[in-house]
Amino acid sequence: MSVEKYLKPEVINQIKRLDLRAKFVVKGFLQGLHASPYHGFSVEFSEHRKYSYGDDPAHIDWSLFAKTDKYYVKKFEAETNISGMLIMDSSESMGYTYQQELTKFDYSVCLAAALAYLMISQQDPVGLVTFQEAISSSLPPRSKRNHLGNLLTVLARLKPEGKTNLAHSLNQLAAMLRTRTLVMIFTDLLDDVDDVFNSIFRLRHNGHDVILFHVLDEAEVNFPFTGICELEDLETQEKLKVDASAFRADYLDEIKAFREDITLRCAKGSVDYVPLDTSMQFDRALVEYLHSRQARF
Amino acid sequence: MAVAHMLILGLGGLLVMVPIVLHLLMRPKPKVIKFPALRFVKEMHSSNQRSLNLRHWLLLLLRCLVLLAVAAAFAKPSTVSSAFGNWLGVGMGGLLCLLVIPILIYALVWSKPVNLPLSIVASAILALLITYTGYTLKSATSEDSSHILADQQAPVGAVILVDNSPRMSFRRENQTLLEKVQDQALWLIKQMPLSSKVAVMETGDEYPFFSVDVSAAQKRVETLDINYAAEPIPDSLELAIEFLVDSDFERKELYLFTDLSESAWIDTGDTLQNMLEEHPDVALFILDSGVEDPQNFSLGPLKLSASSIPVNGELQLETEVRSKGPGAELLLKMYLEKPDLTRPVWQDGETLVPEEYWTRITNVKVGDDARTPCKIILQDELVEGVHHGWVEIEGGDSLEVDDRRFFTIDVQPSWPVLIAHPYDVTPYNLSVALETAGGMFNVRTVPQDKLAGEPLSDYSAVFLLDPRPIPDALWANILQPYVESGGSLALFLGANALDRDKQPDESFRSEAAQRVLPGPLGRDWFRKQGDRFLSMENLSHPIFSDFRSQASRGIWQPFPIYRHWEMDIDPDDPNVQVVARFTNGIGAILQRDLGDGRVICMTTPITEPVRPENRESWNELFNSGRGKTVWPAVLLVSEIAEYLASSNRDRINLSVEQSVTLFNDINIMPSEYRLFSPRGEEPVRVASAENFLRYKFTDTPGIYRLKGKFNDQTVLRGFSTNMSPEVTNLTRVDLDDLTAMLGEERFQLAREREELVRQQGTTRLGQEFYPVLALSLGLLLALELIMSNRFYKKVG
Repeated sequence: MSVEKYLKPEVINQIKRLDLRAKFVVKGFLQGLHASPYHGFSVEFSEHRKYSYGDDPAHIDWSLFAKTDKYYVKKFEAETNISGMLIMDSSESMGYTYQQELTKFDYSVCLAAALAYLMISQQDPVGLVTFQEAISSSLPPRSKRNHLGNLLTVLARLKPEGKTNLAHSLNQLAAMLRTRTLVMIFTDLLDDVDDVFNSIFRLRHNGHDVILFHVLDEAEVNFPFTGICELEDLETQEKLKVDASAFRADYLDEIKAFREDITLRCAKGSVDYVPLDTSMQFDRALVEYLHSRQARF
Repeated sequence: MAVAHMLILGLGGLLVMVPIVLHLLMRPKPKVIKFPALRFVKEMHSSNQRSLNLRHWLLLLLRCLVLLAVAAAFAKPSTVSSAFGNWLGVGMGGLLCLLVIPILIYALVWSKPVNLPLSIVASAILALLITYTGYTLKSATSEDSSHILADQQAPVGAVILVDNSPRMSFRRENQTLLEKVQDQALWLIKQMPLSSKVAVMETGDEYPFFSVDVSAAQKRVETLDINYAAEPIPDSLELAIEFLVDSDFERKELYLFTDLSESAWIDTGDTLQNMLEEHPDVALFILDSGVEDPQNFSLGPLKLSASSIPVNGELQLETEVRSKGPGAELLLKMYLEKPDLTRPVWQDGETLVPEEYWTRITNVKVGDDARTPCKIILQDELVEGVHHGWVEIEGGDSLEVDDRRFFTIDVQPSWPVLIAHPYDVTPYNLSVALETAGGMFNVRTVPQDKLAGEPLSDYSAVFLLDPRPIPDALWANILQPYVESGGSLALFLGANALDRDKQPDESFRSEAAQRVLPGPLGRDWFRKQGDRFLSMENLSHPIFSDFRSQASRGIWQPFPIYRHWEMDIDPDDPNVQVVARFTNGIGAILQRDLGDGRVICMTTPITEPVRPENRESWNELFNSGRGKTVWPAVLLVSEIAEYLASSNRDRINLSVEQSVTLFNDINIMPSEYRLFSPRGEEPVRVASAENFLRYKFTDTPGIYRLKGKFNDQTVLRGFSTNMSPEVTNLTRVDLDDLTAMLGEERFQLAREREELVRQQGTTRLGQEFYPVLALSLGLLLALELIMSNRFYKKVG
């Protein structure tokens, strides 16, 4: 997988188009989320307002008082820099695809690339962590233009293999993160969900914002098999013979229940949950998600 | 059940092993698909695996059944029609059992936990199915007589029963039904397999037999002729079945050629049906040669006022015109031959008969499917001798045989009548009455004590007027033999029957008297008020034929009855009847049929003076005082006399197949006659034996003429026969009634040859299961295809 795969001309076109839209959106959600606490740091004047009791006297515009003999306070807009951290599940199950061009991993990479592009173009630092059973590689957050290339290079070299242990990896991550970070997890969640959410809640507890991109293959969502077939787990090599036709309805119910369970857990922990499958256009899915996020904040 | 190719069935059974072996040993490996989300699959895998296994076994079952159905279809199983339904039931029941058993196993064994409702329902259904299958299997094997099924060309023992009733002379398309039936029967005989034996029967035949060869059977068919006697078909069928059952042939076939008219199918109870049930190996084919909506006019029974009348007497003929189908206005014509001593005569191979007739023509309008009565009267023209005649519908129709009715009358100079009376009784009233009858009677009057000396056999009737006690010897030796040999006796009982104690005299109660009288003489009834009369309640008896037109019930009112006897009759005696009653309900005129003659007894006298000496009058029947006309009593007495005198000892109007007996005193009559039958054959000789002429071959309706010579004088006599009008009733039998009579699916009904051939094939080869098996095979293949497609669908 080459870097160009993720940012081919037509993909860049998509991203550019997305960029214009997402710029505001990204700005909006980053600023809206992190307004006010960092006054005085990289502030930008916004407007004057009459002083009223309770305002910090430090914000009184004394030069204006000199001209007008009235107290005005300055209002500022804080321009926040937030670190983003892309957490990529690179276990073998992420390398699965049934019919689509993109594996779950490729899909996640595209998504991550788009988000990284958006953040870097916003001059927000973004980092990368990949993991299987534990964190396997990481890039610290940077906001330089060439950092995107580094990110994509690491991602392109990465090959999904081995088993997953998301919970453990997140625990390692939590120990690593010093500042408040926007943690964007790309995984298929084929792991022990209870442990995973314990880790996610720990991240939340540490003040990080978490967006969970739950990426499944189209086959995993729709179960398109018919007749009798033998299914093999990629990670454990376990095999099961099933009558797929008779099984489909039950499977769909099961997967729906699973997603609903995740949704509930995420809602409980104020985690953004983005269920995706590889049949969805990732840029459109991203735009839709960002719009919905903007509406919420 | 019979199987044509048992080998194929055996091979099919072995072939069933193939899918089983394939299923157990060569199960196809499913395609391996990599699938990360296996954890969701695992959770439901075990239940899915159970249903998968069940479906596998179902598929295996279906494949085995497909192979079995193919083998069974090619093996060509067949059975007799009656058992076909039951075998089908067995097949369906077994199949359903095979389908329910896996469900039950699933519910009990594979389903975790045990699916109790499903297992209960499946068990109940299985139990029902097993019961049903067992029951139908039992019925099927008990009804199955498939051993008779074999090659269509196996020899047959066949009875061809031809209904040759007069209805079969119905003409259609210039051919009578009998001729059509003969053609069909000849064809049928020709197409019988080699070595078959055929017995040709006609209805009424009592001894069927197999013809020696085909040509003899054909000859027998060709010579079949109409049988005018009414022979019910069920009786003949029973005979034919008995005959076939006794025969050695494995395959027994009974062909009935009939027009399916209702009148031939007299319900004879369950005998026929039971026979057909007991012998399912006798195949019954009914070939319907009848006409769906026949149109016919016919004459009903012919009633003569008397078969013996005096010269110048009146002849009344009553009959009815019947229509089947649309009505019309018809001409009814009566012919009565004028006596011609030169005829009949046999000349050039044919019988020449008198050519001059008296004729009467009348118009009759008859409605649709209706009956119109009509009456023809001939008076004052007859001369002494035996006359033959007939009544016919002019013009004719498709069935001519019932358009004509024959009759014979014997015209005598006058009827000799003997009146016996005690000295104190005057016969005046009766004499007057008989004289008013226009010279029909030749009356001789004797005192009662002279009765024993009279040759009673010379008299047509003997009247005893208010008789005194009659000794037993007279009863037993003279009166009883006279009546039994055809004489008629009338008694008018009155005061002389009382003994000195005013009780009924013992001579009228004695054993000898009771052998003649309708009953022993009982008490006498007395009513002074004069309000008791003869009743006119019931006028059905012939002696009231002239009273019917009077219609007035009050004609007896001026003639009170004061006193009368009562006879203790036995109500259960079929020979005794009460002809008329008094208004108090006691019998006034009683009749007893005794031997060939009859006795009429009136319980009040007709000879009562208006004022008898020393006693009171018994009635005023002949009291013409106060301006009364005694016509009712005169009419009644003359009618009684006519009724008694005309009852000839010879019955000369008979039904076909009735044997005739004519009194023939060789002292005054020829001892031998030549008989000219209506069949137009050469006359045969009939000799008198013990003063009687007897002849029993009256199988054809028409006039039978007797010609003899006595002292060089030609003597002509004869009689007529008619067939029963019911024989030609063309109303068709209802198919449901026929089925009820013969049994469900116990006969095959055909109209055309092709239909018969088809039914013969079905009966000989049995009903084949091939179409059902082919259909089942199609269904099983479709099911198998659906299931296998569903299971082994190519992924992707």
